[in-house]
Amino acid sequence: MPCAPYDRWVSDDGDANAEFYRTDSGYLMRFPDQADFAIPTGLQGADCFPVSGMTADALRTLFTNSVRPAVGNHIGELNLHGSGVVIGDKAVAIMGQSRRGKTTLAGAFAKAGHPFLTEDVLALDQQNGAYTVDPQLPVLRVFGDSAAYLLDAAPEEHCADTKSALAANATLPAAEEAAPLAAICVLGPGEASEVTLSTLGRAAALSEIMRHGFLLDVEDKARLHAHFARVAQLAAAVPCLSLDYPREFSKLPDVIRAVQRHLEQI
Amino acid sequence: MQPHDLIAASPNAVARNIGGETVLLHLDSGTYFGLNGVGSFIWSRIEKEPHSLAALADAVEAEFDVTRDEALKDITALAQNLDEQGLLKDN
Repeated sequence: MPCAPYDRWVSDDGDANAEFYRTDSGYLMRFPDQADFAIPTGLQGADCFPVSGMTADALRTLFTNSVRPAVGNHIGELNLHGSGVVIGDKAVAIMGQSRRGKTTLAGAFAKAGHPFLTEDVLALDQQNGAYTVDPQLPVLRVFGDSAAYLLDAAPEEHCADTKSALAANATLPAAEEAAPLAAICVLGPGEASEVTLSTLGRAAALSEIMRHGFLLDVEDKARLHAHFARVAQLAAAVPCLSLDYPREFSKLPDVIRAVQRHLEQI
Repeated sequence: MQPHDLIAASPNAVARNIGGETVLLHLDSGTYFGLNGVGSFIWSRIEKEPHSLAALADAVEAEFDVTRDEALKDITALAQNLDEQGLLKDN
């Protein structure tokens, strides 16, 4: 295996969340201190090599939320990084950089009676120019303060520094069926003093959505070109909104109302 | 860059016109670049074949409400920017 990866997914802190290597038999996705996934050139399955102590649930999450969508995009699917909820009978996708509150917002929607479709992977199907979002694992993984808010629990009941996995239930419902995608919300940095929601131009939307794809091989120009074309088609078909708000739990009901109102006008 | 210099789109750039603007993707670096209406107009020409900056300024003057001098100045700046981003074909 080459000693240098050809691509990395890097966190805001500069740490590598994933590294991509070429091997004699295909690709290797390395999640440092967690697991390696060897993916054959033919993309039929993946072999997992976990580090000691990794749980089956953690490995399943890595595969479902990172390996599977990257391989899917490589073969022509459209999987994007983000959460999603169902409002009425329409899906709303929530995208944004890491730690901007995508999962917490999806949970807040669910708490308000709008089921969540996914916490991390927007698996999109396109037919005749319309898109649907497929439901994923019915789990929300959030940090302690968000878990306490979503469960109406005392903050000290959840560790602030680690994520809790909240399974869907009656008060945090998950959608069981795909829903037509009506809008994409891109979360801002949280600098707004009040809830702000504005429509992004199509070109800006394309650039923004491109940031949130899962690419197995960024050096494969033909596939990168094809992915760009698929995202351009999505940006042309679905309204994309810029959403920002103070990151205070007390503001989340206002955010939900603003998105609902906007959706009614689409 | 001089008015007689020819510029053409790099084969490593792909473009999509969307909502009256153009988004360029550089396939080597994976970076994006947005063009406004006039930039899109220029890109649509240099995508097909090389054009001189002077010829592009003539076309922009004919199509938009702008003087030729202003057009040439803006096109030269745009061409330099595209070149720096690796979005123009090497001469």
